[in-house]
Amino acid sequence: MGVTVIEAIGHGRERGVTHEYRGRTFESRFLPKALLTFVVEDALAERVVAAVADAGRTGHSSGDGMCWGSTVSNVVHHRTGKRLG
Amino acid sequence: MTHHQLLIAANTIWVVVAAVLVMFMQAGFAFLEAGLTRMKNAAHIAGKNVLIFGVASLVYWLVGFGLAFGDGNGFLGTNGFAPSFGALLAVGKAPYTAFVGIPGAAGWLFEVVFAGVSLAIVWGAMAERAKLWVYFAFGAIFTVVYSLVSHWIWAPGGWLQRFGMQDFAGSTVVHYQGALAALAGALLLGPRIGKFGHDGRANAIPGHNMPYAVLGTLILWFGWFGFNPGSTLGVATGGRVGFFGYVALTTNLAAAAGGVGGICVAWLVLRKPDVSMMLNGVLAALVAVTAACGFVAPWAAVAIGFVAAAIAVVAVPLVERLGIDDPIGAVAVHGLAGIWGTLATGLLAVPALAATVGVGQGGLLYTGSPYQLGVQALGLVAVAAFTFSASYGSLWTLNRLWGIRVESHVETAGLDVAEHGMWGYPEFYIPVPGGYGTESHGHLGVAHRPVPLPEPRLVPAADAAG
Repeated sequence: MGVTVIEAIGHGRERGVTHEYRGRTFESRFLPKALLTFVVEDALAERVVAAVADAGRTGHSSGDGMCWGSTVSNVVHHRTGKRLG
Repeated sequence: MTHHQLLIAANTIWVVVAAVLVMFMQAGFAFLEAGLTRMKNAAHIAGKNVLIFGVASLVYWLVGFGLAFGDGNGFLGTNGFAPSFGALLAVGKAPYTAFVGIPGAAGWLFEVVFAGVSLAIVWGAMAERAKLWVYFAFGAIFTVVYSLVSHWIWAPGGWLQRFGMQDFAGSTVVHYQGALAALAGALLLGPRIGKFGHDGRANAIPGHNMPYAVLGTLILWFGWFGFNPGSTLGVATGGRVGFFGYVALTTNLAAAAGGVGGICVAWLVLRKPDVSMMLNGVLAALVAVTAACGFVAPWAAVAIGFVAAAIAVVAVPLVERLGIDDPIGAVAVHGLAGIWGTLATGLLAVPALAATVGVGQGGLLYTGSPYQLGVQALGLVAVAAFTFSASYGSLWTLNRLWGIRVESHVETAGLDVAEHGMWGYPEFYIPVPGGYGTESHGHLGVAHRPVPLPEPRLVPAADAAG
């Protein structure tokens, strides 16, 4: 039941960007991205995926990213020591 | 006080104020150079301006001032080394008869800050890859080289001064010389890792803080109001009281034309109105008008500034195309604009103003005589031959003996941490107690109030298995 955001660099099909500095082109192959990890109950998973996909959609031709789901196991809550799945 | 004493008092006030303005230009260089380089070298590059001004001041007291302005012959001063208070308090007396309107101490202060500026220029082209001890060694050597050339052009009886070479505040003496040593250093050091690709094409290595570079440029522009107008060395020049105000005006006009010209030319030639090129345009214009500021009409100051900015914008990529890595653009901004300013004075000097300053004659445009232009060209050639060969020779020797370039892992890590032990911006690189990325940074800057640790409630292994 929570979200972790990791600031990352990477690229998909857009393959970075090009800028200019003192008459020279400046290419950056990697762009700043965010890697989001949600750990949620199965019942919520579909709605989380839909919400992330909707929020990430900008209408640009590339760079919106993607999301996917996978199962987790041996989940322990640190403070209580409770096993969640 | 007599009238003469009052004049000396007014002169001294002005010259000391101007010297302090020029000293502040070290702050301008610190911000300009740190802003136009990478953050892993920021503390090193800003800090070296303190170091080299210290080295230059000590060497200038021991030998530089005597070589430059001590009484001597046409090539060097031979008196006034490591001066004591007697020589420094006297006005217009041996060993510093050159300073007729101010005490030797005021003359020393005004000239040492110029030596510091010339030395500051050198490291712009050598930034991000020279070893720290080179700043000590070459700083001392260059201060001596600089002092000799300033004797040729500025000391009464200097051999170029006798030809009437017009270099009001040092387009040649200060800026061109600094750029010649910078070129020698950049050639011997070679480009920074990654500056040129495998195909030889130059890559952009953007500076890390453009507002720093803007602040540095504005400080330099501000300091230049001491640099050029202070070079009157007094409040009256050739019978014109307050002539330094006119010099300040031509200085400002040129800088203004350089800023506007720099951004417009960059927009046209380089496709983008690059901010750093606008700053280079301002500085190139100030460099160029430094020789001319006391000799030319206002319209000429505007023309000199605009052309200097265009030269700088076009020349920065050309210098790179030659395979020379000059992170700040010192060779283009101080070297080529220095040449342009020195020659432009020979073209555009107004005869009446040349008579007021008392150096040389009117330029080609007014007199039709190429004499002044020829003298200016002679000075440029002589200074290039001496300063470039002396700089290249001494740096080459230092390089052969001990190596002047840092090892590749030092350059990659950055000079801040590798040479000095700590970054200029540590929190971008490592966790610092209470710094970025710690509890003071998280939770919107609000740290958790400490709570008693709960009893451990570890789940038994048997439970976990079952």
